[in-house]
Amino acid sequence: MKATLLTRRHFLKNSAAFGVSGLLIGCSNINTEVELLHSNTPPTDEMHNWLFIGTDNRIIVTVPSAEMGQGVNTSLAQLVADELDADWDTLEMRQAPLNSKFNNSLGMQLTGGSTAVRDYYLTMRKVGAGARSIIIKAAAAQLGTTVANLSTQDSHVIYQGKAFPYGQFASDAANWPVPDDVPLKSDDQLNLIGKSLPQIDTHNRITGKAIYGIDVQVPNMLNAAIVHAPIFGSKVKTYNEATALQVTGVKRVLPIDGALVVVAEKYWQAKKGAAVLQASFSDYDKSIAGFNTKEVHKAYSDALDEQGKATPNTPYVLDVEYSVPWLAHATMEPMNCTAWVQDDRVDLWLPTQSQTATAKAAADITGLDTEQIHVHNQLLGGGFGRRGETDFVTQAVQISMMMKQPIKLIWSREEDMQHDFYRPMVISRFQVGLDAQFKPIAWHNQFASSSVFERVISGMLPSALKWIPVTAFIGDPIIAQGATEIPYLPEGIEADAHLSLVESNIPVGFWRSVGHSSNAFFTESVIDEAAQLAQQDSYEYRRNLLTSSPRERAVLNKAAKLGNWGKAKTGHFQGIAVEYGFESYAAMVVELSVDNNIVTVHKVTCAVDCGKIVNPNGAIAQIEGGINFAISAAMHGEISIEKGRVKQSNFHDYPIMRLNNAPLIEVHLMPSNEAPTGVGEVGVPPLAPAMANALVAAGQPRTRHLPFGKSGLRLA
Amino acid sequence: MLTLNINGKGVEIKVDTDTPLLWAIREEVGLTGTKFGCGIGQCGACTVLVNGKPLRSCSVPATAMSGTQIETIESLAADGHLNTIQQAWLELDVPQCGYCQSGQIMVATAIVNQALAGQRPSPEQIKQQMNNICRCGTYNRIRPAMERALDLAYDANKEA
Repeated sequence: MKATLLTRRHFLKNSAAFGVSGLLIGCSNINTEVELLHSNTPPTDEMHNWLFIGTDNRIIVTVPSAEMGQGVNTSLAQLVADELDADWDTLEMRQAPLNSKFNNSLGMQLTGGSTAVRDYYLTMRKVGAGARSIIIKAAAAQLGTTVANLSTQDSHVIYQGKAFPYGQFASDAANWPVPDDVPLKSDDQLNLIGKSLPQIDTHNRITGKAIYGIDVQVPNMLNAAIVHAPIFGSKVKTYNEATALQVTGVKRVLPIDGALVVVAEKYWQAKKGAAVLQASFSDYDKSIAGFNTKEVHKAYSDALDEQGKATPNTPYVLDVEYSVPWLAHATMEPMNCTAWVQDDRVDLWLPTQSQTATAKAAADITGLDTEQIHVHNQLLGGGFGRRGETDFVTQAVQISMMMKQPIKLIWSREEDMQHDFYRPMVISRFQVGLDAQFKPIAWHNQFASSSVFERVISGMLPSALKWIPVTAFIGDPIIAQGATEIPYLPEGIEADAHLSLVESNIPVGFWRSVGHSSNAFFTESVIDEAAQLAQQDSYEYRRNLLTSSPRERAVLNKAAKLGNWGKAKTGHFQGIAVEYGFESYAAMVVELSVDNNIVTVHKVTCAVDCGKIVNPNGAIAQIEGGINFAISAAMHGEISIEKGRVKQSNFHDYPIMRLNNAPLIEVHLMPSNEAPTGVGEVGVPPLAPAMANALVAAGQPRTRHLPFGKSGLRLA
Repeated sequence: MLTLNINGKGVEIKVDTDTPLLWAIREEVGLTGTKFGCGIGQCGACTVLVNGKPLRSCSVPATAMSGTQIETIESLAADGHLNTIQQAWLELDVPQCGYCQSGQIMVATAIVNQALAGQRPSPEQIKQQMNNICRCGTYNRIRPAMERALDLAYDANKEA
């Protein structure tokens, strides 16, 4: 049997590893001109270094996005390596340090919104192409020939049948000016882009060697556990410090904003200390909705009543109300952050989706400049939007400041689940005007939720402008994602959608696929209801309406064909849905059966059009994962509030689907020459409506309020 | 002082009587491949083998483990070669974020070892035994990787 040797590949941990001089390729921001830098001293972490070719032949690619399982360490490096003609097996990767030169289209170092490949596609290719173009010029000069006589392959320049390593030309190359317009390879010249290269982190992830934020060790480090006030917005009143201090290893009990922290030598000691604090907390703020789920629901309903309903003057009107609950992210790795605050610098070792937000949080508390904040991003044990937040960073910085020592803060699963920024609860009402053939010709939608955008925008505004009620002017584009893009309407008819924002003390945030996670369920269920009224097949009804949306129609047709639409086995039932989001198109066919309220999802077929594909196997993995993530949510996902606090606390009452319930999944990626678009989130939105529609086909009453488990259905 | 036999070596550690095996392994022995996920034995990220059987190390005190043989993810490729399960995981490129995979692989290792000693488990039996949570939803890769691991293990057994 062929055995595989371990870890051929290196991951850089710090700048010292560079060690030698060479060619450094810098690039300021997205899709702008590639700018060449050269340093005779080893480059530091803080330089905006995208690619380094050392005189010792080591080639190091900086990956600007956080690696959270979506495979960017592989896909983004592929882009550079292909243009550079680099040897894939010896290429090294490092995570980008904090530097605005790595910002994406959102103006931040933020891995989210399925932006990594779409935003960095051209940049990474240009970096590789730029480096190759000057390496080959330097080689021509050194070898006394012309560029035309040289070729490149596997990190070597080839001349007269002999191979010279890139490192030999690295120092010289740095003296050549970067060409104004570096030509990129044509599609037929690509070697790595479009190939299913294995994820480069797999070796470390299957041997226990991968280092996640929670695994970081810093000399002289203490560990901290946290107990938040269980009611959102409430304060710590009393606690028993003495009992906690009696626990072996416990050093301090620290009250911080809305929480108590126990610091100890070891995490388990801190956790034990936290368990004996006997803390009491102030009551909830009765002026804001949020004491229990019903109350928030009622506040949303009242806001919708105030909006009133539309009365389209059409032969038929479909008048329905839908809702989705709050959802937790529940990343496998609970929130954590290691911080070391010194007089003139802060070092942070953590799993984060946003170096920018992390640094800002640390700067805000310490009063230091962001240049003094050093973010050492680690592998993320899941992100899904949760790790774009910085609540745990703020806490870790505060604790280190008080302890004057490096500390690692780890949240328990219970704290993680009960103090999340939840996928917002939304209620959505529709009055859809149908013509005599039951085709939608008017679309009125009123929906109510609490703003995600308000918190985000107020974090970005300078303090003097924070009073501006931004959401009063532009609503919440995050919650509205996908609500107004209704491809089924005739040309010239716009969807009329109005969002009421209600203040609530339940924290809400970005959850994989964000607004699409709710709006796809609403709109694709509503369309299915219209198809039912028309007594038409769900697929045919959609297909006939998608006359001016060729890419939606193409994925719909493909999913129907591959999913054997209309030909389900006896006892199996199908549902279909399509969604446009993150500039990509996805259609799904769900095939399931229901026996005595037990739902078995047999197969999910998904066709995705995400433009050009960098790593097909990686893209397929993302869609598979998105589907399973969405099944957990649609079937059982619900965070509820009782007496001001989150009722669920761990995986026993917030269940996640396991292997025994995982359906067969078939993913088809549409061949395309369009620019690459989002992948990481597009597998989520169509699942819930396709499943809802399949349940109706199976004879179940229409589910208008997720999760399906509410009506007694459950997975086996 | 407590002596734990971990990955074939005796390790002396000092812990409180109620310290879970998970935290003893992570903080006292310094092996961080075993992960903390839920702390209540639900998710399986902390799975290790104790006398060859999978055990959720977050829910058992370290002090109850003296005299047992404990294996963690770090033991599987200690000789520099991946075991058949890791080999299969690599071939099918199973992990996404990878945080749960140490636990998944430890359960899979126990299943394969048991299979070599007796009967090959059916896909249905594997479904029930592989009961760890993967939040990234890599189940569609774990399933074929498990079958591949069994194939590789039976082949290796024949060769040996």
